[in-house]
Amino acid sequence: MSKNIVVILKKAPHGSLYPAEGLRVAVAVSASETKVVSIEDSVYAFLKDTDMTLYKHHLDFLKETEIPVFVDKDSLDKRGLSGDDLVDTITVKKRSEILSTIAEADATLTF
Amino acid sequence: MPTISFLFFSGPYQSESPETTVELARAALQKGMKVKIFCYMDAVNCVKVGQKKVPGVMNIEEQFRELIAEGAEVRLCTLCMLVRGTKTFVEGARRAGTPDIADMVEESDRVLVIS
Repeated sequence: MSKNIVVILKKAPHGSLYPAEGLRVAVAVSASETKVVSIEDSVYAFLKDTDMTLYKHHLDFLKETEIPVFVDKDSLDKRGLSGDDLVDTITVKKRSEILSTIAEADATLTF
Repeated sequence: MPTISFLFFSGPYQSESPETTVELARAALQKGMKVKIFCYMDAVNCVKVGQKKVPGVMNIEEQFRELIAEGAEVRLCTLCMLVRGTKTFVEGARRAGTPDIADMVEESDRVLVIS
């Protein structure tokens, strides 16, 4: 049975390639049961106005293959953002749901 | 034999992450575990050949050679090497791609991410 993998994005898309690389890896492991979780400054990666040139194709692939991308509501709130600021392929989840998702994982890959 | 894998991000000589990875990997090998290390992003430069030996500083190239000799599997992100111009690497390490991360996760009892 394939493992339940959660790719956790933490870092901002400006100043680092981590969100782009994390999404690349999410695509690579997508044959397993995979979820992507975005917390802290990585939430900026999914703003409607963010330049997604480096990872738009990965996001599109994840959408096509029904791999969910969850964004932490607390992280949005702390930055004065809301779900309305994000592209529509993203699902906003409460912190408790984010923590449950991570707790249920067999492996977490943090970027 | 339990398997532990490291998804490792850091380049050499900027933080202690490479030393930490080497020491954890060695400890796991000494406990009889199978060790796999996937060098991602700047970490591909940890296995670059020709790193100057400086007294008092752990030579990362040498450490990776030893880990490989002790049985660790070391895989290198090919795209990460291409964009960094990393062309030579220690014998025994091998080029890989992100699908190898999927295999590594499936084959491992534990995966540690070191950034």
